[in-house]
Order: sequence, then structure tokens, then C-alpha cells
Amino acid sequence: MKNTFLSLFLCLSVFHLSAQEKYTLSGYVKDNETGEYLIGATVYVKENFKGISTNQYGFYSLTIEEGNYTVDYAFLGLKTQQKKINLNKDTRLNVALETNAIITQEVIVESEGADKNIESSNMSQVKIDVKNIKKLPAFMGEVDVLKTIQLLPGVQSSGEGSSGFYVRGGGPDQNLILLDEATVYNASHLFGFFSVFNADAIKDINLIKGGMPAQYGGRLASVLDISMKEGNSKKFEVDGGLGLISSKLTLQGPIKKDTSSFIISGRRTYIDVLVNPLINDTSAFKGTGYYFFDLTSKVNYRISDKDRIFLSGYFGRDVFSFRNEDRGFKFDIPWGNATASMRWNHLFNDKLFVNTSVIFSDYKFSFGAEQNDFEFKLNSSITDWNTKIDFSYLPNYKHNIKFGAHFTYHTFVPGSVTGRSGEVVFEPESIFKQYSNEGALYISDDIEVNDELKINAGLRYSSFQFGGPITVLQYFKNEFSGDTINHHRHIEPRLSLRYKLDKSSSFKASYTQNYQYIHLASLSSVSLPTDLWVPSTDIVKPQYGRQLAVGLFKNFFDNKWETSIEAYHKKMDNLIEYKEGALPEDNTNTSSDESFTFGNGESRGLEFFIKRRLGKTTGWLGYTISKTTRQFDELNNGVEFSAKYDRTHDISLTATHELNDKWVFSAVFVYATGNTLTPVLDRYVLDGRIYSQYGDRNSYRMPAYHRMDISATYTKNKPNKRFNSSWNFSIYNLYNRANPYFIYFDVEGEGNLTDGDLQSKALQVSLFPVIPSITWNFNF
Amino acid sequence: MRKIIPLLLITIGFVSCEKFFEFEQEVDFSQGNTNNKIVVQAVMQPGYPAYALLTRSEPFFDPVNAQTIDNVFVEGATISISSEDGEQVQLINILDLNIAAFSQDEELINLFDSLQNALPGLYIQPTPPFTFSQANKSYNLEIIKDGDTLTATTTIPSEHPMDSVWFVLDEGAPRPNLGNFWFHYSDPDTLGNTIMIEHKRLFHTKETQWGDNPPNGVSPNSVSVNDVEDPFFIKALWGFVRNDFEGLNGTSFDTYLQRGTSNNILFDTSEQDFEQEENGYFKSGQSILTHDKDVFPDTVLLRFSQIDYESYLFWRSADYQNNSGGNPFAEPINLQSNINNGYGIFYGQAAIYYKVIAKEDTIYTERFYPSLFEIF
Repeated sequence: MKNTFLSLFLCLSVFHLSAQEKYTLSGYVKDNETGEYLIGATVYVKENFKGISTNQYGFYSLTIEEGNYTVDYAFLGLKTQQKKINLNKDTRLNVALETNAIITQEVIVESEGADKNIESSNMSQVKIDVKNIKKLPAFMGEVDVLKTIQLLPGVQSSGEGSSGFYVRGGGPDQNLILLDEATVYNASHLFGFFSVFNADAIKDINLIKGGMPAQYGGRLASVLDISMKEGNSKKFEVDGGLGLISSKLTLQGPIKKDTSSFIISGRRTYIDVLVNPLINDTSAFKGTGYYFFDLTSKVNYRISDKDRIFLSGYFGRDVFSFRNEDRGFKFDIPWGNATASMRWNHLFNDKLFVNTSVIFSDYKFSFGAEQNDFEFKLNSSITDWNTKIDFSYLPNYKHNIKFGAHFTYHTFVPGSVTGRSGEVVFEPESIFKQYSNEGALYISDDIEVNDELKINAGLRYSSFQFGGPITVLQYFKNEFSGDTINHHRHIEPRLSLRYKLDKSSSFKASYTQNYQYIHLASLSSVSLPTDLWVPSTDIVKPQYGRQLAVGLFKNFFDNKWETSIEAYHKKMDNLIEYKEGALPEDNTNTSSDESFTFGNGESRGLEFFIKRRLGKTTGWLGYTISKTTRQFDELNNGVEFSAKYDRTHDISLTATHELNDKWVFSAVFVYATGNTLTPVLDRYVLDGRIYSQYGDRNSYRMPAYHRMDISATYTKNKPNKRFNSSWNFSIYNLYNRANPYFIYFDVEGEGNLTDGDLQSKALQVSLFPVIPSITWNFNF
Repeated sequence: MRKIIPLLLITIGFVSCEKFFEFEQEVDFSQGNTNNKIVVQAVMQPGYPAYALLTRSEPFFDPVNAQTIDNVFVEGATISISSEDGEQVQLINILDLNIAAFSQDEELINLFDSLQNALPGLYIQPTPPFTFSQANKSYNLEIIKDGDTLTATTTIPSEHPMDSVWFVLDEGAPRPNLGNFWFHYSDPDTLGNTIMIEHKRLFHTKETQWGDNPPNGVSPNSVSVNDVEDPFFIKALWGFVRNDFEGLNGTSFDTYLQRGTSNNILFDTSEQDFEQEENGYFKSGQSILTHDKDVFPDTVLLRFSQIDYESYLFWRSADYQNNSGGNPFAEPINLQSNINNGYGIFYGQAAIYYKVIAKEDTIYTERFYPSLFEIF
């Protein structure tokens, strides 16, 4: 016994002596010129080839053995800083990176760091640096976040008129869109043409198409996580742009230098004001018009080295009106979001970082349509109060542990409908509201097993309770005692891994299982914001998704060229659609549940991507081939059909050429297989009226969508001059293609049916012709 | 100046955009495989002959003219209906029916003559007494034409009357002499009852206010007054079929009838339905426009029927297509037919009729028994 104890003691002593002391190097990395904290900056220790990235708040923490190290701090577009460190105690090192004075080798879209796409265990993720997308051709000179991500493989819009983007065959409601952690329910102005995100106020964009980390949940297809700038904490700055169609202005600056700053950014289009006089009074389209405005703002305060608080907000409204007097047809759509987030960062110590947020989010829309004597108006809204606490624990460089808890209180007005046919009016007596509570706990770890293998393993426990209201504490109390009825609870495993084949290539795989508790039920066959957000109930089950993705990533010529091939297979259950013949007025003053039918879906695809990152000419080519289907027992006679937004082929090509330090030219070409539509086959007479007989659901393809845009940017940058400006000349839809927006059927001819000559026609409506634009951007 | 010219050119280019761009254009949507099926509207009503109107579907994009209507009817089909008791009747094509052989009623003969001209695809149970159609029984329809066989099944529910009917002027109507018929109904407490409401104006004084460009023979800015009638029953507007799900089962409630449109492609109904302001309403006498003719209140025959659930689904889907027809934002749905190998509907209606006048002073509770030629 004594010998055993002695041996154990000696072993432990030896173990203790042979294990070197570890210390933590941590701090914040920011942009020296603006004071903005940098998300995803690389901190790379040359001696042991270890590197990590700064988190959402610019914080990094690296625990390694005591020793002398050379550490590179890098962020694309800024000058890399090298620090020599003697790490013999826990060290706090904040670094401010200088602007890169030499504008060479700028990339079009900031994807990862030099070889981040190879190194990271995350797959199907794309990071976009807003600074570097401003050289792409922009509709009306306005740079747009959603339009840029739609140029990536696996991401599609449904054409002009889309109110969302589709990721790997998922629906537009299956994307979690966050603006400083606040959920944005409809991220589009002008039918997906402008997003609600004002690029001048945005710092970072991260799109996750698959391999969703455990801290995210609630949506099946993707996460688009967008961070606002904090505002220049060093000096007051004004940026603006005056365009033919829209204008914007951003003001930012320190409230207290290096401690507190603000940013406020606004935009408005005035296309309605300009275009209306140009449409003839006699034109059938007189009265068609559109405008939007939005306001993005943020204030932050650094209380101390350990604490910072942020307050950010967004408010925007859109109004669109379409008229075709010849056909007695018009519709009006006003809609918009409002969000507010309050966040508090706290550093417990060099290894443990926490963020606590309280968030408000609201989305309202209204849709009214009128054709001859028939009129229909739908109002809908969703409001969230949300609280989150997220921890980040970095015990050493082999582990990056995240854990936390989220809670959201939803209020839905799924559909308040009024209608009129002839003189007969239908109106609900009171607005029907639904409440629900959504919560989640998660934990994940990014584990560096060895030099080749890195695994990100996570577990998320999510739950949803329909019916409220209850407090956060009550919710969690009920949660653990299993008290509440009408409650959905699920475990969501998340796994992704990276296996490095060699220095410039890796193989990755991921598996994601997730649940979605709130749903967008789509009433129309055309992508318009006529869709309703509804909660999961006894009848409406949570959507359930599983995605498996594998990919090969390889860089060439010292990371000058990036290539990847990714394949994915997704299955989705409990998808929601309206029953055939369901009418919106069925649901006034009551739940929509009885109008829904449920089914499943499947999506498979292959994404090819090749990008030139460095040089005077840069760009990328993305191609996706995919198939997305749905199967509902009560629709299409139970036969499988193509999803509304199934796109067999999707191609995006971008190119940017920097001629010199004044001129930059760029071009974009997109091609996509046309949207699906349910065709009409026969007509027949019954009871004195003509009725139509339609074919299989979504069995017809509209013509393909393709378009080319070009732009030229002329920059007058006078060094040492405070005032700088640039001119951007863009042409959207260069060859004036009439891309299909929707197709409808009408009867033309003279006389009536017993005494006349009439002909049914299919008429295709297109939205945007060739549109040149000039924007003047300035900064001081 | 140099900068202004390009700006000007671009603006001009933009202005003329509308001429160079097709915001709307016709596209080829022809589908190779249209169906060309027989369309059936077959009705059974206790106490009256069963009948079926057969037409044919056509490709949607074929032109529509007078020939289309002439060619749309299906003649020469063999139609039989059998009951669950094993009884069977044949429906005879109206062109083959010699009504004079079993009735000397002049009105009936005239009716059948006009039906032969207007609806050659009509088939009717020929010989009285018409006791074959009975409540609470199921029936099977079989149609054979050119080697195709169509079948369908329906049930005639038991009848259940309205408690009362009365007329109310609508203060919100475009003219003060317009209103609706209201009725009080007590739903039986068995789940699944469906009511269908139809109406036919037996008498209506139509007043037309002409503008500066009236038709030939009419003075500008004058008022024409004609007494007209609806040639057939019309389904009420906005929800002419209602079932008792969603909390109505076993309850008593008041609701009102909105007058449906008389538009019928098989007949010229311009005479009845010109007055857009009166759409949805019945007229209660009183002359509003300036003229010296008498204006009498509408005399209306209401048909209040019980139908089975499949029939309800069909008529509801028809109502949906009617109200959303041409609207590209509506999910297109097909009429939920119960005809195998065809389109359309075979349904039984347990009908109760009320003859009512559009005046506020009367409450109607007694049912009316129409003659054969009044039920169409």
C-alpha cells in the first residue's frame, strides 16, 4: 500500500514537472483608423503553427506553453502586425492594425484568411468583408449584401420580385437572419433587390449554409449573421452617396474618444418621384410606384477593459404599388422591420468571455390586391422579445468551448383579412393573436485533435411552447419540471470535421440536425410577401431537418486560387403548405391550423466554386446543380412535385479588374433555371361559367433567368485631403432581358362568349429593364 | 459641361426605357397533353326529375367563339342512375324526348322546346312520377359515351328548412331601395350538415340610367325601365355553400343572402345584369331614377338545400376559382370533382323553396312548391 502511494506520488510529481506552464495571451484586435473591433482577425503563432480568430466582438484568447513567440495579427485589407512576445505570464495584448497603404492584391469578396478555407473545421460558411464588395456592379449604385451572397454557389434568389433568398433548396423562411443578434423576418426591400442592410453601417457578414454551429438554431437552412459597425471611435466621419434613384448618408464618430462611439445611417429611394412623371397618363401602368427608407444606428460604450455595452437599432418601411388599368388589376404592399438590441460584453478572465443580450424585433406587412370587382387585403405581423447569454471559454488552443442559453417570446398576428367582392365587404371583428415561447441551451467545442484533424462537436437542446404569456423564469421552471402542455422539445446534434490532406487542401464533412418552430405558410404561387408567419402548435408540428455535407477544398499557387466542391443532401419533415382550396378568410379570428397540410421535402446538390483572390483581376465562378422536391399527401394527389424554387442550374460569374489606382471595372453574370409554375391545361363550362383545369403542381418551368451587369468606379483619392469622393457608373441588365417575374392568364378579344371572338393568353410580367445608374459617393 | 452630356444621355435612355422593354408580353404556354374530358353537372332533387348536362372540356388556349359554345355539348351518351335499393332510371337526351307524348301542358312543352335549342347536352329523367330521388339515399351515376365510362356516387341528405326569411334594406347600399334577404336557421346537431343557397328572380323591374352614348334607339341621359326575370337559378355570392364545422353545429343563427351574378356564358344575360350598382342586392320597389313607370319589388324564388360533404367540397372549390380567377397570386386549384374519369359534379340536393318579395313588412316561414319549369 505504501509503495503504491509513493509510486503514484512520484508519477504525479514527474508529470507535474514535465508538463510546462501554460499562459494565456488575449486581447482585442481593432482597426487603428476607425477603432472598429475586427471580427475574424487571425492571430497566428509562427513557432507552433497555431492560429485562432477573433470572435464577434474582436476578442481573442490563446493558451500555450510558456516561451518566446512571434505572433502575427492579420486582417485582410489591413497591414499585418508582428509582435515578439515572451510569454511567461497571462498577457493582455490589444492590437490596432493600420490601413494597408498599398492597394494591391485586394480581393473582391473577403472569404477567409489566406488559407482559412482549408484550415477551419467549419464548412459551408462564407465570410464577406463589406469594404471589399463595393467594387461589384450595383443596382442603382447601391451595394447590396443579399445580392452579393446570391452570387455564391448554393444561394439563390427566385428572380426579381423575390422576398428572400434560398439556400440549398430551403425555403425563404428557413434562413435565420440576424442583425446584431436581432432576428430580421423579411430582409428585403424592393423584392429582394435591396436588402434592409445598409452596407455603410455593416462591418461583417457571415453566411452558414450547412454545418450549423450549436449556438444557432430555429431555422433549417442557413444563418446569415450580420454585425453592424460600432462607429469610428477616433474621429467624426461622414459618408454619403447620391444616386439617380436613391441616396444615403452615414454619420459616425466618437462620443468619447476611444471609449464610446456612435453610427447612424439612413437611406431613401425616390424612384417613385422620378418615374411617375415619365409614365404616360394613358399608360396602363400609371400609378405603379415604389419607395423605401431605412435607418440603422448603434451606440457603444467601453466601460472598462472587461466590460462593453452596445445599443443598436434598425427601422425601415417599404411601400410598393402596381397598377394595370387595362386588366383592372392592382396591388399594394407596405411592409417593414424594426429591431433593437442591447448587449453587454464581459470578460471574466482571459479565457472566459460572455455576452448578454436583450433584443426586440418586429415585422409587419400588409398586402392588398384588387382585380375588377374582387378585392382582398391581408395584414400580418410578428413581434419578438429575446434574451440571450453566450459564453466563450478557451482553455487552450486545442479547445474553443461555447455554451449558452436563449429565450424568445413571440407574438404573432398570422393573418387579419378583409375582403370585398362587388359591394360585399368582409371584415374581422378583432385581431387574432398567438403567443409562444422558444428557448434553447447549447454547448459546443472546436477540438484540434491533431495537426490533420479538427472536429467541431455541438449539442443544442431546443424547446417551444405554444400559448402564453409566461415569464422567462416560469418558462425554464416549466421546462425542467415538464409542466406545460403543448410543448415541443428536441435535441439537435451538430458535428463537423476537417481533415487536412496537405498544406493546401482539406476534406470536410458535416452533419446538422435541427428544428424550426415558426413557419412561413405561403398562399401564392408567386414569391411575394403575402406569406404568413405561424407558430408550432398541436397541429402544426416543428419542421425537422437533417443535412449531410462533404467537401473538398484546395488552394493553388500560394492561395492565389481557391477551389472547392461541396455536395449536400438534406431531408426536411413537417413542412407546411396551405391546403388546396384554403381561403384566407377561413382563418380570420381563428387559428390557421385547419388550413394547413404537412409533408416533407428533399434537396440534393453539388456546388462548384473557383475563385481568384489576388492580382489585378479577381473574381469567381460558382455553379450549383441541384434538385429540390416536396411530397404532401394532400397536394398534387400525393405525388412528389418540384418545390416552387427548385433551380436545376445556377451559375454566377464575377470579375473585377483594377486598371490603376483610379479606375476599377467589374462585371457580373448570373444564370438560373426558371421558376416552377402550375400549368393550366383545359377549360370547361359548368353551371354557366368557365372553369380551368390545372396540371400537376409546379410541373411547368418559366423561361430561364439570366442577366449581366457591369460597372466602372472612378475614385478621386487625394492623399492628405479630408474630402474624398468616387463615381460609380453601373448598368443593370445590360442586354435588357425581360426576365419573367410571373405569368398570368387573361382573355382578349371582342364581344362576349356567345357572340364574340375571344382568345385566352398567357402573359408574362417582367420588372426591370436595362437600368443605368450613376452614384456619387463621398467621405469626409 | 462634359459631365452633363453623358448624364443627359443616360436620363434620356432611361426615359425611353418603357418603349424598349416589354413589361408584359405574351408567352407560348401551349401544353401538349390536354385532357378533353366530359364535364358533368348531374342533379337529383326529391319530387323532381333527375337531370344531367354534359359538355366537353377544351384546351385552355383554344379560341372561344359561338362555334365553341355550339360544339361544347355532348349528345348521344347513355346515362343511368341506380339507387342503393337496386332501382334504376335512364336519363334521355332532350333532343330525343317528345314531351307532347306524356304532357299537354303548353308551358312545359314550350320549356322543353327552348331547352332543346339552348342545351342539346341536357339529359333528363323522362316520365313522372318523380319519386325515384329520395332523401337519405345514395345513388350511383353511370355515363357511357364513345367507349368512355364515367361514374359517380352521391347521397341526398334529409331536408331541413330555414326557420324564417325576411327582407332588410341595406343602408350602406349604393341606392336606398336595395337590400338583402335574411334568414334564421337552426342547424341540426349532427356534424357535417351543409347548406346551399340559390335564388331566381321571378320578377324584377330593371331601371337603366344611360349616359351620353347609349345604344341605338335609346335617348342620351334617359332611363329605360323593363320588367325582366332570371332564366335560371343563381348561386348566392360569397359562400353559397356553408357547412357546420367551426362551431356552427347545432346552433341557431341569422345570416343573409347576397345576390349572385346572372352572368352565364350559355345565355345572353346582359338584359338582367347590366346594373352594376345593384350587384349583390335585391330591389325593393321605389323609383330612384327619374321616370314615370312603376317599380315593383323583386319577387324571388329561394332554394335552400342540404347537400352532402363531397358536393360541398366541389362547390366550395368552384366558389374559390370564381373569386380568384385570373388572380396570379392565388394558388390554382382544380374543382374537387366526384366524377371518375371526368370533370364536374353529381349531387343530390334536399331542396326547400320559398317564394318571397323584397319588402320589409313580411316574414316568410311557409315553403313553396314550384312547378317543374320553375326548378331550373
